[in-house]
Amino acid sequence: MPSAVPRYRPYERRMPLLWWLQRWNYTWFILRELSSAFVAWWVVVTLIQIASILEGPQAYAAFQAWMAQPLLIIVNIVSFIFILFHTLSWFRLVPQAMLPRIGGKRTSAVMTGAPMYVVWAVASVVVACFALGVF
Amino acid sequence: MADKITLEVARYSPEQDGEPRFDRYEVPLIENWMVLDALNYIKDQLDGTVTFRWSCRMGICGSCGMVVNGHERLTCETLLADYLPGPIRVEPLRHFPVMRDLVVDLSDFMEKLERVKPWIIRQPGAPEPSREFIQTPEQLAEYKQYSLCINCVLCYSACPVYGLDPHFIGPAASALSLRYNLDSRDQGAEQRLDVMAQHDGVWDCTVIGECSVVCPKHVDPSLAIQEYKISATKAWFKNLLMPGGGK
Ligand code: FES
Repeated sequence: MPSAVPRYRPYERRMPLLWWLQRWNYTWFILRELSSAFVAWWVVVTLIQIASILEGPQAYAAFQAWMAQPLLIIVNIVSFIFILFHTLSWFRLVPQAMLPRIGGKRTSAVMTGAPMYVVWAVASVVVACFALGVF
Repeated sequence: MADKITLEVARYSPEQDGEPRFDRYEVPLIENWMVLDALNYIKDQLDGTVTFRWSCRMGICGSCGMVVNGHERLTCETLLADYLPGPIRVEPLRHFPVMRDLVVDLSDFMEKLERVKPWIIRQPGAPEPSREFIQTPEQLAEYKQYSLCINCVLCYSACPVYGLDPHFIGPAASALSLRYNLDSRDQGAEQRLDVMAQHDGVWDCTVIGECSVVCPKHVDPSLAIQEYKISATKAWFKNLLMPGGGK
């Protein structure tokens, strides 16, 4: 028997195009995803660098000249900022994603996060020493 | 302190409106009044047609969740005075279809919740204890945080992944699923993993983390989903190395 009561359709909403500007957490996420492109760029540059080193001093000099162009310097500065952001955002994420157990007890967010920053700082100092010719 | 505050309440009547609209109401600003008290004042004194859900008025039943000035809140524990001088914009939770005014259709969440089997599962033939199950405080601590979920679905409203892909199993269902996996009495982890490890399961989550930010009970569904990803990966490797065996 058909029902006498009409059935009304609920109102379906769509996500606004700029949803990722609504909250800081959303924007952070989009920037984090975007930063992957700069990480990829850095990988490409490193591969080209290694290839030119293997080719010999002339090729490496050409690589250095290529890198010295103003446009590439700007691109690399922007990439550096994004890669820094990428690293920090993933460090920030790890305690949000897992709290491993040590001796049966769950570690705190600080205990999970801190070692990564320590390793990062030590690695940066070692690399800086190489770059500055300390070793 | 002002003695009145304005509420802009999202209204939608499926019989008449094509689009929701906002109606403005002025309510007395009484100390310790919550947004829910103001809505009840509107319904009792100003406009009996305003429709919304509520029950316990103490942050337990999880039915009064709405979006207040753009953020998911349990309206029974959201002080009016925190939004001075106003106006306060009250909208239905995001992503769910609006049935009327501030009431959303939760069928999709209910279906997902059932799919993850949020109850204690015992293997057929598993020995039944002769008395109640004994649990140590440590065993309780394992799942207690997740058991505090009140199904208010603020987390679904805050999750853009769910908004973009409604098939995603979502935060609360994942947290409740893990709650039973972590229970020492439960033996159903594998059954739940079958649901959770599917494409529409935990893998859709991109770790935005807003679900855990808005949770009024500090359940941390985001952590639950990431833990599930780890178990799903472990199970996959186990199956790869020891197909069919090594359970
Ligand atoms: S009325 Fe029950 S949680 Fe708000």
